[in-house]
Amino acid sequence: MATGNDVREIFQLSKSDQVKRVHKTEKKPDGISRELYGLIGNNVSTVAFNNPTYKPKLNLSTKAVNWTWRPFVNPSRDDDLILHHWEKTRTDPNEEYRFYKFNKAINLNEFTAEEYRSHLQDPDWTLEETNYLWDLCRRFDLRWVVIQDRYEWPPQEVDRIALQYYNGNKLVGKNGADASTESSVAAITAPTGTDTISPSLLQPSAISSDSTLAGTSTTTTPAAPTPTDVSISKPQEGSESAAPTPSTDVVAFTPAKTRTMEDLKNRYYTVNRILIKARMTDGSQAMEKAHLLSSMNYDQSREVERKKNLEILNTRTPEQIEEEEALYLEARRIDQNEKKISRERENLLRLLNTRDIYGPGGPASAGLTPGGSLAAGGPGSGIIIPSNSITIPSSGPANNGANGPISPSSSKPALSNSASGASVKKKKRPPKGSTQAEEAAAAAAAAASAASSAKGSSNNRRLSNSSVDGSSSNLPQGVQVKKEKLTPGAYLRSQKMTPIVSTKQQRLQATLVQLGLPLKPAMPTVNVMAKWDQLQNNIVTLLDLKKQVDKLESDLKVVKIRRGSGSGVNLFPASSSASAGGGSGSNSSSALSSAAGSATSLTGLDGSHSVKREGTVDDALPGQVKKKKRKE
Amino acid sequence: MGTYGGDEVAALVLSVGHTWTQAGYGGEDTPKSIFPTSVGWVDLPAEADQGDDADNSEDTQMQDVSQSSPQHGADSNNIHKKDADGGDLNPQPVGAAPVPRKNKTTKRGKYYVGDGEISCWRPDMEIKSPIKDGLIEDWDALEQIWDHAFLKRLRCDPTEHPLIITESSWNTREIREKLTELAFEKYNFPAFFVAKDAVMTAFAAGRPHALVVDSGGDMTSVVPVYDGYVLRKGIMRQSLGGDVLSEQVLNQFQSNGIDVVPQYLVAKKSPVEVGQKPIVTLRDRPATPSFHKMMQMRVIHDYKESVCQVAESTYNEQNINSRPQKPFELPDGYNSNFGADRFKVPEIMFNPKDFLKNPTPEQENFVGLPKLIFNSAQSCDIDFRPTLFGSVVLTGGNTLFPGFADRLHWELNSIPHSYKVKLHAPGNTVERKCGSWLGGSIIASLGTFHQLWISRKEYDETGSSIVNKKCV
Repeated sequence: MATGNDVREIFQLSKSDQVKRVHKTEKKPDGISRELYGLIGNNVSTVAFNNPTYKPKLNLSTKAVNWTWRPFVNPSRDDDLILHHWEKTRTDPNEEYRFYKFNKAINLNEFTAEEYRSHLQDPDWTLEETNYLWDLCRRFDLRWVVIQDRYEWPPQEVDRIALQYYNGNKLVGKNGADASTESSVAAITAPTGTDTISPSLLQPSAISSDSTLAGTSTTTTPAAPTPTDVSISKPQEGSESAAPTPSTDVVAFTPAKTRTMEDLKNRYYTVNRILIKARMTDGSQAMEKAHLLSSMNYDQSREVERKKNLEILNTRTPEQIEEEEALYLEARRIDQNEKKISRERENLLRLLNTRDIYGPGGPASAGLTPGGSLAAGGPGSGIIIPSNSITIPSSGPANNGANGPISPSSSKPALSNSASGASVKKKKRPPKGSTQAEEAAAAAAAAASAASSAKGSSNNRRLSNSSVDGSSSNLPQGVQVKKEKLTPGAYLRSQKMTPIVSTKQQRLQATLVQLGLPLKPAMPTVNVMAKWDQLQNNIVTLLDLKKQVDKLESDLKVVKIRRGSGSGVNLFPASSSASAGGGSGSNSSSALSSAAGSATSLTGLDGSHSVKREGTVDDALPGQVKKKKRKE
Repeated sequence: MGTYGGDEVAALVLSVGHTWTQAGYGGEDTPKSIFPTSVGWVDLPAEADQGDDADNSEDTQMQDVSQSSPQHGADSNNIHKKDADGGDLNPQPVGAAPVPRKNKTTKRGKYYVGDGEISCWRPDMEIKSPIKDGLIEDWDALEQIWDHAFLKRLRCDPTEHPLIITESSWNTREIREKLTELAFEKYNFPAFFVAKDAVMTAFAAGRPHALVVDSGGDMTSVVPVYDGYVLRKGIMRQSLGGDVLSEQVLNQFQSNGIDVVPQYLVAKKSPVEVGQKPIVTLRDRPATPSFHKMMQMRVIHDYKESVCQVAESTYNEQNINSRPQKPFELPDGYNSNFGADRFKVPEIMFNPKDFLKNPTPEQENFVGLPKLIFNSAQSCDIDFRPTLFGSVVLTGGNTLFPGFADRLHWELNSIPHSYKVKLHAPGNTVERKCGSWLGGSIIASLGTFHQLWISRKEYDETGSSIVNKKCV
């Protein structure tokens, strides 16, 4: 490997003396590993650094810097006040003062009297007062807290405040304030009194009133003696000289307008906004104008509201804060428990439903109830009375839907219809919480209501439902026609395909095989896949329907067996016959259109109907397949 | 230095409080001179005064201490003479510019200013403070104080230095104008400024916004400061200060049958057992009541400084009794151990209703300091309140009781509100006592401040009312 020396040799340079230093590493002692020695040994540091010299040496060669006591003028000042300070002698005496650059003033939007007249009129404000506000803004650089503190319009005698005795508990302070207002009243009345009186003729009544006023004010106001002096001196002056001039002191003591900070700010920002609007008429400045306007935005009422709320927030006692926190915790606890409770209720309902269907006591009691009164009890009663609870999943949406009050007949067929419906639902959806179940039910109800345009009584609706029963648009509960989903944003085309639940996957494939179709299309174009998707959906729907039919048939069998055994209570056959005979009556119990489909299976005629429908679906399938095949 | 924005112009800083006057140069961290504001006053026989006036022309008031005192110095002691000699060295600045002054022939007498002067016994010397309620009432005495500060303590030529003084936040226009007049007409300062003491205290604490709690000798005030401006509507004050506490201690002693004998009356004393009657030989020194009172108050002041303490949380008699007692010996030799008593007096600051004995009608309206602070903050804008509570600055000699800051913090937190309280109480005694002076010293040495001075020219053009425009 070429070292630095080699390079030097090549370039015919003289040998450097650095070489020696580089190779001056010590040898590793025995009995210590190389790595460890690399860490602890006095090896060459990888980073070069200069050793700091800790001892500054006395530098005699440079001279000490001379300083001079020198006068200077501060350009920030209007006058030429000359102060002195120490400066390095070698600096330029005429240099601008160092701190001049810190003298900054804010830029206020000024307005002329003319502008005020044309744009800025406000019944609550005068030009003078607005000017006064502007003065304060300039003087205090828009420190609103200070401006509000110093705001006194018309300008008051400042000493009044200074002399007012503020006390901690505001007792004395309040008295002082009251006294001052009182005295100001006295001061106001005093000049008017003298004005009305002719200079030469002094009416005794006026004197007395004045003197009483003065008397009261002297007794009450030790704080503000000037107005009382004035009011006392007034009549005398009037009697002696012919020209009683109302002194400016008195004018100054008119009560001050109390303006809140919000008032002041509102005025300031309003004026500014108007000025911007009025001045920047040029269209090219629109952007700037909008920006300026937004920076001058001020909503007084909102600000007042905010401060009020802040006040409330800050004046809470510890007890209130504690209570609030406790309430919040409680609310959260309830919120969390609600889920748990509803899940438990769901489980309970499922349990009860199965018992109702297969257990001997349940249906009997359900048949015994005079329906309406129980159903009117609402969902709460459903929890307490097990037999009635069956109606809850179905009657809930019935209440929610546009079906009006539940008719008395609604509860009668509950046992068979809604029970089966509910159980189907349960089977189809593993318990995911009642809310979901309800949602599904509600959706179905909505679909039903959409299907039947006539929104009459539930009976009418049921009739109409049963009449349109055969139409394929009305699918039984739990059977859903998958609709095309629209995913927002960018997505893969494959995402457009309706996902098939894995539990159904197998049966779906089995059906496909049965139909003699491949499990996946050979040429997945857009059209083919759309068709494929449709086909899959149809198959799923078909399978659902079939499952439901099977279920109902088995239910029917159970009922038949029971009836055949004749061990039922008297009323039970009647109810069942009612449900079996009058399909309409039984169906009206639930607003779900699905119930209609399931109920029809009870009657022979409707059973054929459903079979027929199945057939139609089946018929439809080959057609589609044919189409597909053709495409392929 | 420039990096810190400082630019020294050798300004004088003067802070005349109710009890103490502090004078020094801007940019320094401690006043050069601290002396009592109270002045001694001896009425002179009419003849002597006239002769005095004749000898010294118009400058009598100004220079009588320095020049004329040897002439009628029958009652003056050695210290005085020394001072007088020192004062002789630089009499010109004022003498050089004879200023038009009001004729003060009505006041015939002699002032004594300074700690050594006023604590020296003189048969007819009255002691008075020119300041009451934070406002200057006795202008002659104030002039004496200024003279003493500038000519005898700092020994400077007023015409060479700008002057900054502090004033109470509720000072009146009239007084400020008079002060301006005094500074320009009599002393010929090239520039002058009047600053609010609360603002200066906030400055000393390094805060632009602060709630300044100042508990001094005769007054406790709470002043909100916003960005260097006092918020007038939030000023809360009550005349509950160290003097009231001293008075209470004195009453405490007297009710126990103990007479507080000041040092100047004691000729000889022998040690006695705890709680025993003192064995003392008294001097026959007839003094004015005000002088006697002042000397008594000094003893009490010692007592307060060395014994009194504030309970850190609430006042709990049982807890207090378990605390160790502290011994204290009066000048006449009487000594005792003080237990609960030493906690009761400072407690007045927090709970005047229960602890103030024999209150006058005015004193019945007193409220505790925490309430005072809370009320003050409450009278400010709600958006500003958190800031105020976030920097409560404690100043004034009366806040130096051990445990005072802890207690105040505890009390402020126990008042229901949702603000975070932060108490700034400098541990350094000088900083606590001279807060406003320190602030003045800082501001007078800032480069950016020099544009704010009222200059001689401005004064000549506008008159003394300029102070109300420039010093807000």
